[in-house]
Amino acid sequence: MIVSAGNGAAAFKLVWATLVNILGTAATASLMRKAARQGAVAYPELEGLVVKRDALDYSYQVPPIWKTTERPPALVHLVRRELFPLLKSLTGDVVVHRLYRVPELTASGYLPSTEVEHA
Amino acid sequence: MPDTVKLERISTGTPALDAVLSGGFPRCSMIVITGEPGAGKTVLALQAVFHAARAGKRCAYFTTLSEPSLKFLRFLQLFRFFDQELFDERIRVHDLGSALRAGDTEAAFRQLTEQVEQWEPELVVIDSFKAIHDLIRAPYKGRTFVYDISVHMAGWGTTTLLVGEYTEEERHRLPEFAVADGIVRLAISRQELASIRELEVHKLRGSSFVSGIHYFDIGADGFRFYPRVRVPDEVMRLQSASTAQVGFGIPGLDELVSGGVLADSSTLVFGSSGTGKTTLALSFLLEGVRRGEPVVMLTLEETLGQLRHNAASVGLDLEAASTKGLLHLSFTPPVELSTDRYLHETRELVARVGAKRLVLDSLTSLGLGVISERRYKELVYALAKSMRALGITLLLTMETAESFGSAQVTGHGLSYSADNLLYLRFVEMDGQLERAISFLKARGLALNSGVHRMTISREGVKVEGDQRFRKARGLLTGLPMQAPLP
Repeated sequence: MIVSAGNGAAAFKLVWATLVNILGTAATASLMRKAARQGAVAYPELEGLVVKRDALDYSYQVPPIWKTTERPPALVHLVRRELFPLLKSLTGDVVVHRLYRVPELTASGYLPSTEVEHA
Repeated sequence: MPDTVKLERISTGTPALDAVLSGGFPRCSMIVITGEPGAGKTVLALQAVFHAARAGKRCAYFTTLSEPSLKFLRFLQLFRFFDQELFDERIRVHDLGSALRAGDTEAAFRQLTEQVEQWEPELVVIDSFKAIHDLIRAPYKGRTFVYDISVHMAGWGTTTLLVGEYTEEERHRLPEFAVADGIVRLAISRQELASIRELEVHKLRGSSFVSGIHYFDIGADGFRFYPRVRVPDEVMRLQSASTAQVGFGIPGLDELVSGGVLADSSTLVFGSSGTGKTTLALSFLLEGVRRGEPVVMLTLEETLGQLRHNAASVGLDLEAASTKGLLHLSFTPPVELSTDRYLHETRELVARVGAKRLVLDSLTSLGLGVISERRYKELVYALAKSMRALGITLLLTMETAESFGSAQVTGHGLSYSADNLLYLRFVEMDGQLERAISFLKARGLALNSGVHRMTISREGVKVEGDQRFRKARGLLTGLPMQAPLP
């Protein structure tokens, strides 16, 4: 059964948790901030994605619209066009493959459908 | 140790290191891999993980607050042992740093044990465990933490590698070293201007291991290990020596030892510069080639081009022997030579080509790379015994400093390592410099210990009885006198 990632906030939480599991919060936060800043040129909505260091940990806030929208275009852009190339350039295919193992993300179209597409 | 309990092993991915550990890390054990930053701890652990994964074992790699996964995953891909396909299928990387950064070691413990229980890996690496320890303030908590991990991992059938950049003082104080079943220390030491990577096994509970310092390099293939050169165990088990004889193929020389030296013996050829040691050694090898034997020449002095040219000038055709595939020549400059590595590679080379004869030219150059005279003697002794175990006839050359009027025939303290001693020197005879040759020792053989004349010409090397040599006295001083008439 194909499971939806839910609204944008839930999908982002899945991406965040998957990356934290392998890279840790510090690296995940850093990559998200960079991806969001680059993506904000095309999708100003991404300026609403706030990732900050809180005491010794990291926390984030997603744009409010993601909580009510399924598959928000800005999030799709963030993951497919900004985060993927960043992960590929820094870690090869290891982390990217970990994301592909999350069925909710692949089913909801957040990830490029083929290796060629994200290459 | 009685063989009542057989310890299964997890390979390190490096056969030579497995041999030092009597087969690898004992299964279900907890091993601390310690060393300064950059010593190679992570590479060693990763190589073991990929090796285990290739063998179908599940492995988990937990990063903490040392080398970030982001960087670690990137650099890892530079090694040839890296295989993307193994990730997630056989190897899972987890970050414990997120829990640890808030100081919550209990949360890290929970994550660790949950992952192990879910995934049931056979090999687990925690890198760096020291980072966890640094967050545990109370000593009793540290010991409990380590103890619980040890028990939990063993209970789930997991072999655990705790990687950490511990200091010498911490190795004596911290509980992981007491609780661990094994301790492997990596270091980088200075040898004059060169840096050398070292590995030492300090402890391996329930298992024998080869003590002392071993050497390794890290390259694109990962961890390349060179065990400390020592007398191989097989030598201890050798019950009998060979009685077959091996000729030099030099007219007049083999007759001095009833047809040749023993097949598994070692011969030290020593003399001053220019006396013909290398030429004699090459003749010995070409005689092997003539008999269809694979032979190896290791030179630390002349480049291969020089060697071929010089050999051709005295009628020795190395090119033809190489073309036949029987003569294997190797030149290594003695500068910055790592002797243990060199001798380890020599053993691999002779085993690979199935060599029957080996020449090392010369011990003098080899000695330049050895840190102490004692170690130098140990190396030569171990080399001689290793070749004996392989059934190879070994010929070593050594240059001696000598002057006319004095004779030094002790072999510089190395003569005890060799079965046979062959001494070359110049003597002044009728106003001409002549070459003299004499067997000083030939273990297990009837020996003609007379001093004989040796000639080198375009026809090669010859040893002959010479009336003048027979009549002279004091030949080994270089300045002989005619014996008084009877």
